Amino acid sequence: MGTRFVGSLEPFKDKMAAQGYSGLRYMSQRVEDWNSKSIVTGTAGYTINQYAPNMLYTRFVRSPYGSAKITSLDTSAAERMPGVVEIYTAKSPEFAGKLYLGDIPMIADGEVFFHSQPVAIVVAETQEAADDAAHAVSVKYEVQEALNDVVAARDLNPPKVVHTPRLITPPFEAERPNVINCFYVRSGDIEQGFADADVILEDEIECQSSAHAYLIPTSATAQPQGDLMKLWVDVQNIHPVPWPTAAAAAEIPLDKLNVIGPQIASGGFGGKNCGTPGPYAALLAKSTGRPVRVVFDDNRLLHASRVWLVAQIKIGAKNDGKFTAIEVTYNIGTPYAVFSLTDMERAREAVTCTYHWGHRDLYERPNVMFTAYDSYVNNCETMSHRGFGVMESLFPMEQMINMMAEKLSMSKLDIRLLNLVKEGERSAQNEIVRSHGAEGVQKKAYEIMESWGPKPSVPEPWVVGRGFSGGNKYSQGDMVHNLIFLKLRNNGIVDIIADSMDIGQGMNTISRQFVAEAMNMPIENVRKVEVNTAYVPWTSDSFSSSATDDTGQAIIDAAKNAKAQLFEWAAPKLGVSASNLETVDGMIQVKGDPEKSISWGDAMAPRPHTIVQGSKNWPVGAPNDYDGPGTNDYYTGQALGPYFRIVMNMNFMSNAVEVMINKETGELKVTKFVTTNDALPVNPTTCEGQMIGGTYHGLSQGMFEDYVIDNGSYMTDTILDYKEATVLDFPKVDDVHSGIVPVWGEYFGENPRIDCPFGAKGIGEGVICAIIPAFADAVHDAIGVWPKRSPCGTQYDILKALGKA
Amino acid sequence: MSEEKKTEKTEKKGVSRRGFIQGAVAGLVVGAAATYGATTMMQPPTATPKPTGPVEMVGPVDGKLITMTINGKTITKYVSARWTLQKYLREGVGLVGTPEACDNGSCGNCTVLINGNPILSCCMLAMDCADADITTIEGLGTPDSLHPMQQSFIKNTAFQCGGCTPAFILAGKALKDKKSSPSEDEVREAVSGIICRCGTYERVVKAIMEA
Repeated sequence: MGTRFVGSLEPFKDKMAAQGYSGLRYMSQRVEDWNSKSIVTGTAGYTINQYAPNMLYTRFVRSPYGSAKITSLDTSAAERMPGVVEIYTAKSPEFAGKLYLGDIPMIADGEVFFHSQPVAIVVAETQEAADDAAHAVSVKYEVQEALNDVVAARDLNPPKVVHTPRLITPPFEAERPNVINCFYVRSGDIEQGFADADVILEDEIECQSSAHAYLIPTSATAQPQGDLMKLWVDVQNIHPVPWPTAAAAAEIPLDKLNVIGPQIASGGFGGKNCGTPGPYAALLAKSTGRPVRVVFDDNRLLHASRVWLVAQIKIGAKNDGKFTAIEVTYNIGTPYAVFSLTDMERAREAVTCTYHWGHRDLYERPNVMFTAYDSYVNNCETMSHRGFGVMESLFPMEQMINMMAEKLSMSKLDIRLLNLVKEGERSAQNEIVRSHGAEGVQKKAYEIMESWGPKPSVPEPWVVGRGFSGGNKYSQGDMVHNLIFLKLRNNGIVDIIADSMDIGQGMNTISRQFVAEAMNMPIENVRKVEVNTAYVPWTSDSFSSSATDDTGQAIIDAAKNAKAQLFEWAAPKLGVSASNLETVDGMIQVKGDPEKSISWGDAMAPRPHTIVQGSKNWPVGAPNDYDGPGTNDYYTGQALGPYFRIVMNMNFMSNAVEVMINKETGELKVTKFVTTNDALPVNPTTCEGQMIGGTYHGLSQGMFEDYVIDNGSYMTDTILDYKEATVLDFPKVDDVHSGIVPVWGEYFGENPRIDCPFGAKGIGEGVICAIIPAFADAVHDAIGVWPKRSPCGTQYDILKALGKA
Repeated sequence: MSEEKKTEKTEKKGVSRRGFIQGAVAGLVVGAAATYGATTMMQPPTATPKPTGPVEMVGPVDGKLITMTINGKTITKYVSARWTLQKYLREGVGLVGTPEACDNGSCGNCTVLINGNPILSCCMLAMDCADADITTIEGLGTPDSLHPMQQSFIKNTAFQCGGCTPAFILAGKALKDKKSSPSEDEVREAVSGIICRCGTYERVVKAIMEA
């Protein structure tokens, strides 16, 4: 096994114990994953295993074209086939005018705008009957010229106007007919910044659209029960999206719809965040009066994707490496607005390396001019994808820094350290920078890379290259909906009633660690209940690496309330005041006196159980994340007022990677990598799993994942055609390294983050963000050519870069 | 859809395969209940779904009764000619530990052992498995009595979402049954057909080598 560095946690222990916590007996420990036994025995509760008696199956008829008019749609033959219960089209009253998410219709009416857009839905007694009937639905299309180029799409006179009439008109740039929205950051004096520069670099760098490509498709099963509807959905959250969208589609009041999440979402990566089959299942179950199962197994690679980003960047620096100015135009596109609006907000954040409602930054950039366009195109649906808006933005940004370092003959580390924003400074958006772990993680990654020694000598025509990158990733939290319940039983068991989903990132496990640490009780006695909107409060949801922060904070608050309740009941029984009590190993005792203690059960008697609640303590007046644009000036991106939208944490990471490339064949092997992160680990094993797994995921995208598009039709629409990395694409066990370098003193320090649970940060998305620029840097180091597009590791890419293809 | 229309449709279409499908649904509901649970408590499950045992069923014309040994138990059930082994295991026998994944032989997540060899159950027709000896993840060990390979996966936390884990465990077992101390390269080769999107490969290799 390679290096597994974890920063010392010693200074933290006593401070935690002094506050009545367990003193890191459960927090920051390598506790076994709570799902482990169910996973290894094949008994984990995945939604795909959710069947119901008398259930109906479905198959969607989807457009094979990116842009086409539907000239005829004939379902009559399919309707006569055995087993068919109903076939729905946009003309069916149940679906007419209904929207799925954002401005996407549930079923296309007369025209399709992206490959895999639904045009009809077959509901049948068996999956086979549904499949056969879907084949028998006759759809005739008049194929149009598709618009896929995100740069051309935002022109004043684009090759094509995608939606007529326009679905969304932005507040300005309205003269660009495809533009949905644009975002700006204007800071300092851009002209002066470039005039001050000794070196100016200008380039266009592209990050491809990519699929989430989880292997178990997202699914939903809806079951009517009287006037209630039960809906099991394979999702990363149950409250913010699946619940209201399914209720709206099926026209069911929210209180009559119980959305039930899985024990573990079977791989999410952002793709099981919003675009789930829940609305379809609920509507079809209501319409047929029977349970209905919908599986998105026929559009798994197209129902959600990372946006395709083309970045035009110009940066200026002094000869000593200090940045003077940056000017960027970002271009992304989407067939419907859905999530792309918010993705663009993140794109802006990534350019200045600060979340626009956040208060942290990565590098100083005194003069900034940033313009981003989000346009309608005929590409497949776009949605949040791990590292949402940041991974794609960091590739061009960090690559330009590496190019500048080369130009100035500086080390890749030194140029970054020179320009890092310092704690307490203001970002390009006038926001205060706090909790900055960039220096530690960048130094550690570089140190581990240097510990590899000189590059190995390899036989011709092989060459070796090494690359380096830094990065950061916001974590967007839920400012209002953050409530959990703890059910205390008189046998000392605590049930966590919270909806933060485990999506493989270990949420079930670390929730238990937070409770055990905060309550100072055995972790074996902590459990988590199934997630169901019927009785679970709207807690944090597993997106944006927010669940650790949100849920952890609410758990700590609930534990405080739980102790207060237990102490109030125990005090008269122990004959002391409640303020003299503490919990130790699940018992309640007089402080420092184990002889005077009683069990929870005795304290609670005669009550069998009780419930306490906890929530996150946001500052009064903090804006709700769901309430609109926050208080940043729209035209300049500058933060206004005492509160701006709050980033829960900014996660800092760094990667270094070594590759071997055959200059004759273009073959490429990743031979070593290191991933570092500044998160204080709730569970180091889980953190390292995320860091190494995220690096794999990001490398897979940087190396070869790509869509091949032919006039809007995606040629790579199954996992058979879309290359995902296997074990053979990666280094051996001893060559995989990680380093956890937590930011110290935050929780108890003078400038504590207001919202971090014991100083912990979310980690799940940041881990993917910095690897592509490090990989591209390694490719350049090996062959001397800067890749200008991700992916850049296929044989074709390498040979093309070398002028041989 | 109106109540009247619904009744008319159901009668008119008189689903010919309804009988066996209902049989299949009954079987799979057993599996679903055991794994997912009517209980609301999300404890790590302690009961492994059991095959439902020999069943006398007469199906329609597109299939026939097939006998297989599944996890050491002889099971005779109706098998449709178009069912893959994956579909039969999940929906015919109720063994949902074999996931429904890519369904075209590219991800390896539905791997089961046929006569000791790892096979993609989504690319194998159930009909072709007559008299075969099949091992699924449910046949390996129970939470109270885990197979060493399962124990090693837990020790190494060689999973995240768990979608691919049954496949890796079975492929690892098949390799170890043939060679008790495989090299790292041999382990990599043996599991190279299974994709893990969470990126747990390094731990998977380590878990198999240490098992």
